Amino acid sequence: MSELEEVDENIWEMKKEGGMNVPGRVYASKKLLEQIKQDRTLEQIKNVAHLPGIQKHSIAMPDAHQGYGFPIGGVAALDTEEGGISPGGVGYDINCGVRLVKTPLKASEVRGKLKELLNVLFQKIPSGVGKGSRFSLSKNELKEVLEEGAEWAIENGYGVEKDLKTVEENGRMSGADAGEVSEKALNRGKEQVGCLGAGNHFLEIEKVGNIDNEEIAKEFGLQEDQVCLMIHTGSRGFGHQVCTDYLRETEKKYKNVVRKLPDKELVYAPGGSKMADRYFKAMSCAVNFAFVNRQVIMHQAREAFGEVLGLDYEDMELLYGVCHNVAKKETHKTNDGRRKVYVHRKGATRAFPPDHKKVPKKYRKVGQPVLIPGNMGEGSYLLRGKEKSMELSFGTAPHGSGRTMSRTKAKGKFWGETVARDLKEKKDILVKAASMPVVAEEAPGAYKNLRDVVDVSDDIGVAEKVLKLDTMGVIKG
Amino acid sequence: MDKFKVLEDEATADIAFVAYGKSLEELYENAGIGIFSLITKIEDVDQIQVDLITIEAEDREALMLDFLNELVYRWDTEKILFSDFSCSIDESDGSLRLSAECRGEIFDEDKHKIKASIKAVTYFGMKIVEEDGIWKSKITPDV
Repeated sequence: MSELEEVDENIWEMKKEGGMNVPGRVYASKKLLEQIKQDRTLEQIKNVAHLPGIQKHSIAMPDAHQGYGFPIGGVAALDTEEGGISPGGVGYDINCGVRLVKTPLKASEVRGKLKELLNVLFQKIPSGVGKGSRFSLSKNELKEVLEEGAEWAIENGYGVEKDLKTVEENGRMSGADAGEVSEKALNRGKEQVGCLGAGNHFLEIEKVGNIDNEEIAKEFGLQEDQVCLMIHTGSRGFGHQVCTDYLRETEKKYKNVVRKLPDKELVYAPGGSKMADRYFKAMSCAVNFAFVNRQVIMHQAREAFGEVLGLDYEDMELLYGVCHNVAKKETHKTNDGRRKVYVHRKGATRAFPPDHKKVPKKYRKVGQPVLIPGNMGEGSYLLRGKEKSMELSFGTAPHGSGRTMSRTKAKGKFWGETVARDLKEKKDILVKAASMPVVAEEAPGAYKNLRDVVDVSDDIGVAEKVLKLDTMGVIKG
Repeated sequence: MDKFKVLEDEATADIAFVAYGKSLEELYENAGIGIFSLITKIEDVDQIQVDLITIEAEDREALMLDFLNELVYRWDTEKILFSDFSCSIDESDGSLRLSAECRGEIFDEDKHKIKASIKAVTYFGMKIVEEDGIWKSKITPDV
């Protein structure tokens, strides 16, 4: 493997060699880099650098770990003409993402009712492996979901107009075309709107902990001890089917392209091809599906908070919602001027700086809210996008703490019941889970330290720390 | 010979296993058993229903990927669990054709415990090889 050179503090460069079109870049502290070196992340960063039309660097974020083809925590911008779009570079769970919802309550007003609240949330929002949704949509209804995104949810009473103003893309990718989605994907999707799923997906009741930047916290409408809800889920089986379908289609159609790539899962639809256009439209459907999924879950959560704590529906305000697995057509400054690129963010969060026109008006002065959840015991961080993100990472920040241990190994090492008991006894965190083995897989010890990841983001200037959110209660699928 | 063996460190975020077979056909059968063993306690799945699945693909790995993804699709949409497979493979004209008789039953909440949600099978690390008369392939599902 190529040596890494520290070109600036927490910035490591992998020299361009062999078939690489650009150098690799890793944003990490020494400690995180050692963890990143434990799996095949660096090899994958090198492989991604082989893609045609890739601009500036093949990038790994501080939370990067091994994925399929692209690493998780990988960022690559491919020219829309000379490069292309890679279904594997977006990932299987298209638009897996998070939302942060504010409540007007203080932690002390929730603590006594937390158990009941978790029970009601658990009842209302199906979670866990093999659990379908309470919504069963006809194919035509599903097609509306796919093309209209969160607007569909609002029209159907699962939210208020205002919610759309503070979600990435306003909750709708406008290029979505359900005609480019397979029957199989439709069959998987129509029973899966409004359910959380399993794995690393969760609902978390959190309270504002340490505030790093009072002024910005105020702009985001948050103060110490305020209770929030975080929702983390994606496009369920629907997104996976879209990814599988297009990986295979592009692989079959572009056999010559695949032969030249170091890894089959990097296969891409060349820029300007019909396939690139079709995949983008189908991917946009999956993005919209996930936007609706999180909107419907937020609706159910608002009902639960109403029932248990007497909140009015609009007392719960959406602070912001971000996508984690997505490709976007954006214009960025490259080594030879401004170019239109497909920015692949696989397990990475958009982090646009102040004054960027894609940042909601409400936050334009301060920058886009960046939400970085950690593992169960660690809570989450709220940051804001900074100018350096445009120069270093095509407007991107990390998305979580990133695993250090496989699920299988974690299940062998941890016991779900013990993990839940320790969280209760040591940190006063309540865990409600559909499956205890999932709690073991998701044990805090199987993840990198969130603080390390966030500190690197802050230090290199892609996103600045605003405040920490401490976990009070978790629902795991 | 084991039908399959779960790997601890293969994929950081997911689960991986190696499937084995004394023949290519048996390799596909055991890969199917591996997938459903990750999803549920396979001993509890009775063979009540028989479905015939046919897959055509350009090479052995693609055939494996498409077959296992078809099983994942059936589970996700029809809630059927399979616990036994009989496969036959026809290799001709540069294309491969798999016919699989899949035996199992519809998921019953009182009878079957679901262990993992497998949403897709990936190409990660997949290479079908024969060594000393044993066929094997790494399988990495995304959960």
